[in-house]
This record gives sequence, structure tokens and C-alpha cells, in this order.
Amino acid sequence: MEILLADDERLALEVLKEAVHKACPDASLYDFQKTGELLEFVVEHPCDVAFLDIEMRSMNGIELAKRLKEINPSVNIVFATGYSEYMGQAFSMHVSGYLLKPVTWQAVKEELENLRHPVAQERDTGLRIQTFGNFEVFYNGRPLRFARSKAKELFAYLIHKRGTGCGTREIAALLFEDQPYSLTLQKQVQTIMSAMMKSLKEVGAEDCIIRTYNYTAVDVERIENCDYYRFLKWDVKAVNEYTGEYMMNYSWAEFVIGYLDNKLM
Amino acid sequence: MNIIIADRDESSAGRLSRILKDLSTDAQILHFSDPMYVVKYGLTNPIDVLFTEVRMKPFPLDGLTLIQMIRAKYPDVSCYVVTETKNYLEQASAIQVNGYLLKPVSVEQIHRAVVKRE
Repeated sequence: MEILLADDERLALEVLKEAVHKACPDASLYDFQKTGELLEFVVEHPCDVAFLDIEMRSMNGIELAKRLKEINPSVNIVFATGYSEYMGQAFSMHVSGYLLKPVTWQAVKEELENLRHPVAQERDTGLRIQTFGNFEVFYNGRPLRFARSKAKELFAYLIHKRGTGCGTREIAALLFEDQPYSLTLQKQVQTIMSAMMKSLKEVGAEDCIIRTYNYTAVDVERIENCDYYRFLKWDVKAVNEYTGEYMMNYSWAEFVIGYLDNKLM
Repeated sequence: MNIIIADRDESSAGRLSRILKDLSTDAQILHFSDPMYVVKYGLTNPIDVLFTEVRMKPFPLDGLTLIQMIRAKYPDVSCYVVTETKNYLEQASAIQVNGYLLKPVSVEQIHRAVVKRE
């Protein structure tokens, strides 16, 4: 859920933000003290709910609500106000609800559970790849079990390379860093490759991988839901999800700018 | 005017920042070690000029991809690669950077690069 918060008083905005976060920890929150910035933002990024202070210096909350509804008619407006006399004016606007200040998270929760335009929660369907934080793969919301941990690591590396291919030697160097390349190692890589393909095939995702003789790459067109790939396309949610950590479970993520390295060779 | 410097190397970024500050008193100059944060910044703030290193381990985004991303959102941005090696010259020209500067950057280099913009 995407939620906008607006109040020109910094302290009130902080209180509101905390209450909304407590009521709905999974929601993405965007807070603004300046109405101009809020309007600029919302044009490119529609939101599901907007908690607005009715009385703000630059533009009153009712005007703001009208503008938001013009941009997105199904936005849910919830007025937060310390002055109940404004309720009358706002009434005719068919807003979703009202909160009296100081807002409590329980009151916020109540409003979120009774929205005028209910928000369809995104169901986590299909393959979802997470790179921010630890590398994890989910299918229909559940973690995908790879038959071997190195199979998962291989998949992570292919994702990291963003469609640039690699051969057996490169994979061996990555997965078995201290071991010299040998026929045995080559066979081990092939076993791991098969294990990875098997796990992907179990969820019908084997076409994520392009394989030709000694060349394996991820098919970026088939990866519909990867946080890093969405980030690269300026997906607002993905950009906000990044907090400084990428594939923390693999140490090579620090040393390989996979995409670029290959282009140099 | 918003000028962004993306580089893991603090002293290099500091050096560039000082040179830029002397040249342009009213520009806002921001330094980011993590190129991903340049994108986060660019989500809600315009970027006029970008100086970026190419490799910024351990962060996943490289400077050339960063340039392409910022250009996609702010087509008029001026982008400069600032790096120690000439290795990326070909790739940088392929994406038509506004300049390729070798470290350590000199005042003259920056002057030529930035003044050309006006």
C-alpha cells in the first residue's frame, strides 16, 4: 500500500508517520511538509491513501484533497485535524474518513480497514527475486528451495550479471574459489547447474535461464519481479526498498561488478 | 544547480568538491559513496551535473549504468566519468558522456569540462 502524509508542522507529521507505520508496517510512506512537492510527486506516483492535515499554511487541506482527487479519483482521503469545525466542509467531499489530532495508531488502523475505495493488496504471485538485503527467491510468496546451496548461489550470480553470460570456468572460479580448474571441477559445476535448473523447473521458471554450449545467462525479459531490476527502471517502490545492502549472503557481490567486468573482456 | 559526485574514495570526492566550490559558488554539491543513493536522491530532486567513478565496490551499480539511469530521468544532465584508468573510455564514449576525467583531477580539467557547459 502506498500512503501519502501531509502536514506543514514537522512534529505533527512525525507523529502521523509513526502512527501510520505502526498501523500498517508493510505500507510505503511518503511524507511531505510542502504541498508543492507533494503534488509533483503524486503526479508520477499514484497513492492509495492520503492522510492530510486540513489546515496548512500554503494550501488548505480541502483544496489539496480536491487536487489529489483530480489526479487520481480513487485515492482515499483521510483528514487529520485538530479542529472539528472543519469536518462540515470536508463532509461534502466524500472523503474516506477523519482523524482527530493527536492521531493514534489504533484510529489510523480503523481508517485503513474501512477505506472508501478498498485497496487490492498485491498478491505475491509468480517468481519474485530479492537482492536488497540477502539474496532470496520466492515463488507465490514462499521461499524457493534450491536442491543445493551452490545452485542458489549460481542463480544469484546470474541475476547479478544482468543477462551477461558466463562459462563453466568463470562459474567454477566463483563457486570454488581456491580450487584449480580441473575436469572434476567442471563436472561439479555441471551438477550444480543441473540442480539449479531442476529447482527452477519445479516452479515452471526454467525459461529464466538461457543456455547454449558453455554460455549461461539469465533472460532479463523473463524476470518480471526482481527488486534490483525494477530499481534500474526507476520503480519508486524498488528505489525506496534499497537501504544500502545488496546480496549480503554472498561475499563475491562486493568484488564483482559482474555486468561491467564481462563487457571489458 | 545540483551537482552530484559519486565516488567511494573520500579524498578524491573531496578534492573534486573543493575545485567545484571554487568555480561555482551557488551550486549545491553533494557527495555519495553509494551510487544507489544517487538514484534515491534523483527520485525527488533534479540533477544537473553528475561526476561519477566507474567502479564503486561493494555497491552493485557501476558509474556507466548510473549515467544512463540519470539521463533517462533528467535528459539535460551533464555527465562526467572520473576514474584512474583509461580502460572504460570506449564504453563511456558509447554512452556519450560529456567528459572523461582521469584522477587526480586538476582545476584546468574541471574548468574546461564545466565551463564548456555554459
